[in-house]
Amino acid sequence: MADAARPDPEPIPVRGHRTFGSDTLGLLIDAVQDYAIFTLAPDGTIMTWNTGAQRIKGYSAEEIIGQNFSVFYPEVDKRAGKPQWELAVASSEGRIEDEGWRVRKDGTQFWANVVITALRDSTGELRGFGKVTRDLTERMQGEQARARFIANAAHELRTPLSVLLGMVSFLRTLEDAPDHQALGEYLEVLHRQSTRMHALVNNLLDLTALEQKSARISMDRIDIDEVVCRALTAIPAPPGTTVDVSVEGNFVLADSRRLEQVFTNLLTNAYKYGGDHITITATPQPQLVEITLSDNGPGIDPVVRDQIFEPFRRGSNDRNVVGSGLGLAIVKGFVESFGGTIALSREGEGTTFVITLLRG
Amino acid sequence: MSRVLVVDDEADIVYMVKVILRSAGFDVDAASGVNDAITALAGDDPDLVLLDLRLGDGEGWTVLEHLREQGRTDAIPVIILSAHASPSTAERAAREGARAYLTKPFVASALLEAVREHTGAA
Repeated sequence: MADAARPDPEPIPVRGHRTFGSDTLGLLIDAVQDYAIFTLAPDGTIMTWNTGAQRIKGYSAEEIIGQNFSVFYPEVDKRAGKPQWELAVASSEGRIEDEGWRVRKDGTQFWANVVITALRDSTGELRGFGKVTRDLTERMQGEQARARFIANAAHELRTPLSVLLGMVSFLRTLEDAPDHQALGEYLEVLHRQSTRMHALVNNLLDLTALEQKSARISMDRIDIDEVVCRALTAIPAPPGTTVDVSVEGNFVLADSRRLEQVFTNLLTNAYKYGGDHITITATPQPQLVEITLSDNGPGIDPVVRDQIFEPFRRGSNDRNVVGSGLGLAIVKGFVESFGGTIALSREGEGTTFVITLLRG
Repeated sequence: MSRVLVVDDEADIVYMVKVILRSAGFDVDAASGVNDAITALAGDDPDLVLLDLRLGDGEGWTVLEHLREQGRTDAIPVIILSAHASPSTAERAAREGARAYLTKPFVASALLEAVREHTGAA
């Protein structure tokens, strides 16, 4: 088998106790940090070790060379004979690629992409195997998070969809038109749930755009007072709730429409979950402006405080309060896209969000 | 006339179920959560319970467990109404004594058919 990286015909070199060789290729392999690259004898005994292998698996060359590579496999795989089976496949097919859990020295597991390549000399005799392992734990966790996000989004869409489908399918079965009052009620419910779906879909698109960094963000000098006024006009405080605003004379660098959405989302949350009094302040600092939005409500459940900005987390279990659980994730995404920060203050009662933005 | 207890914390779902079932001659009561449902079940037995699994103050499983522990799941058929579409959830529902499982969203006729079948009003 022709292979540019084929080792010397002599037994796989174990120079010193860990390096691949003193030639340029050997030095390169030895120095690679992102991939564990090492060689195995035909029976799976580890013969060489590189820097990446030490970093990913936790063993030094002195500790691991001479051991069988099955030490990297979880017990269940070892019992099933997976390590030796992979060598047999690599030997007969030339290579095998696998993704699965592997075990580090400290016993923790990581999600690995593994390629084992049979190394044969010019006569075709099997001299050993080359093994390249990548740690894909982060990618796998990202995929799991994405799958959870999609499942949650689908779940959130099912409720308004249920009402729409249920009501419309019911109306189609009626032989006589409903009376005026009943029809008004049906339309109100349909309108409410359609609006809810619309908002949810918009929120999902906003979040996706933020994740893909494709949201169009313009950075302009914005008068906070003007933006807060626009937000309060778009969603006025409900009867019995007062909003004190003290932000005059403060300018920040942000996207005007997105910043308005930040205030709209925070105010919507405060109206739903907060008390009857909301305060918005802005305080200039040398290069930043600190904005706070506080309410005198019951505050956010301590159990979910740390996850409150994650998608589909809610600070309240009151499901009579309609919400997608995306509002604060979007707020955080927008604030960070302006180069700012947002945090939940742990001081005082009620809920206080503290936002810092670049001073404009 | 059969009486149905619908347990769901989404007011518009409850409204929709009431509209559909009342149009077919059923009496419908509603409970918005686990505690509310258990209180309602302390009174006269309904002929059927429509039960959501995700409720504001807990899970619908608690209501099902409450009925099962009291040996009442034979007398009071329970139909799960849930947005959880996984087969394992439906299997668990059957194991724990539910008679049927309707995945949200559903059409009015599917709801009526299931309710009629399990109240004997078919």
